[in-house]
Amino acid sequence: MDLKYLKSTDDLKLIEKSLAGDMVAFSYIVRRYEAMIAKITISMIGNKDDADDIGQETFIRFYRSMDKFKGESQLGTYLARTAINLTLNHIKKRSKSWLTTTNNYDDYELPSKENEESNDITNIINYSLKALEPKFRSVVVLRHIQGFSTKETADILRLPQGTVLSRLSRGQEKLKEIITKLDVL
Amino acid sequence: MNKLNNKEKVIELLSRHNPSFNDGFTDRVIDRINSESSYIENTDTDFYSIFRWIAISGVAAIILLLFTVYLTDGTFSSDAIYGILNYSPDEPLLASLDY
Repeated sequence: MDLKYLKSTDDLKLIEKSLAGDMVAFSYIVRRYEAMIAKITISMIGNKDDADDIGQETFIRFYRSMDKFKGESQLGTYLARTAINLTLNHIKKRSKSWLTTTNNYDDYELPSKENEESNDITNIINYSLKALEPKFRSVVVLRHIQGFSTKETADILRLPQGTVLSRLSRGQEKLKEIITKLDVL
Repeated sequence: MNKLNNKEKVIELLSRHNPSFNDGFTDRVIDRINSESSYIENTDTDFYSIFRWIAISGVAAIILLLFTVYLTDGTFSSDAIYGILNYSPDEPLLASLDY
């Protein structure tokens, strides 16, 4: 199999080849969307190991139901929807657990002024996102971190565009408050 | 906190957030798919082989039972199969009265 050809092949062709048992073709689908799924799951959950598991689960679920994918929506949108649903379920399960609290800030090192060099953007964003309610977090992650349009975000979350815009506005406001309080930049 | 006094700066900060999975993510996905597929195949084979042996043993037991019934009673009637060919319902009652 010509790898150059696979790299330039569109999603539906790769799916067709994967359905015929070509795992190299499927691995190209994973490679193509890995960065997007990483952005969504890590930003939603914060914990890289859990996000990795959910990322794997996203692609495995797609692999199992690939024959039902007819290309009505973009593959990226489809995978993003699966990933966001899995992360929301994960957050719900964790918040129900008696061992954890809804806002568990212990997972993150609180950025401080003294140690400005090490206050990398990931730490600050993860800490701030964690403080957002999942319904606001999902909109902010899809729209501003992953870069989906408002319409695509609405499609992924199956929400009206108006709801997306209002959640986005409240989420940004809340993030601004949190980042301002941190006073690290 | 002068630098971050409006929403645009927050949005700019968010757009610079670019987390990634550890190396080898694709291989981990493919490995999991392969291991799950081989598990399903093995489980299918195991169930088939268990079912086959149970079915063969069951058929053998039924043939043996019929053969024994025929040897004992010389017939395949339902009474013979149930073991009540020479059974009289009054017998236990009379036996208990005698006792």
